[in-house]
Amino acid sequence: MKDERVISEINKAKSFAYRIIWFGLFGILLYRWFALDQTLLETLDIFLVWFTASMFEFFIMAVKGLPLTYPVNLNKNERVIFLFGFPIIPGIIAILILLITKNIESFKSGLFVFLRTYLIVFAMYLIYIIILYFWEKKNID
Amino acid sequence: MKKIIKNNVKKFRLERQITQEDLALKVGVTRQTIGLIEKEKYNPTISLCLSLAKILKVTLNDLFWEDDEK
Repeated sequence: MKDERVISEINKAKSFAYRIIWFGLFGILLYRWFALDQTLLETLDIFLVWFTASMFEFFIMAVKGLPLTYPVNLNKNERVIFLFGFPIIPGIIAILILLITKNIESFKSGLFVFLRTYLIVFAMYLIYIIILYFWEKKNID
Repeated sequence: MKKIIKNNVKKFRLERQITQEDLALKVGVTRQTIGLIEKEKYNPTISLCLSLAKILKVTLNDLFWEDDEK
């Protein structure tokens, strides 16, 4: 028997539980990094679980054909602006975190952190868009 | 046996000269979802079926019907 209401409720409960775990692990990581001054290596076990879950969630969305900007609907030009523009925000956040924790030694190192973060986010979004493009070719066009 | 919901969404959409994007916007879903419905790869909820029927100005019976998978 496959009761659609029961399946839907089970999925909602699992999804909510996943969110609690995701934010919980993220909170633990932030606390250990910034309050306890632990390094990435010292928190590698938690980080790997959290990072793997995040990457899985991110790419499974592309594989399932979910638009990157959902629920905001963007046209082609807006999507291009989003692709190049949005990675600026994580870049700035990365610099701010390092400024708060006093881990930036010079303007050059700050610029390097910004560019590195920008390029990582940009590359991830680009891969996402490419996967989505091929998903549409296969399933819709 | 798995039931497949067949539909005439693409036929009526083209008759009314509406793009997938416009139809998606009017019923409040993504263009990808309209594409999947037209390809009969996704069974929409009754609420979405009613919205599509309303926008395309057809009855639910004309738009959707059930078929057994071969």
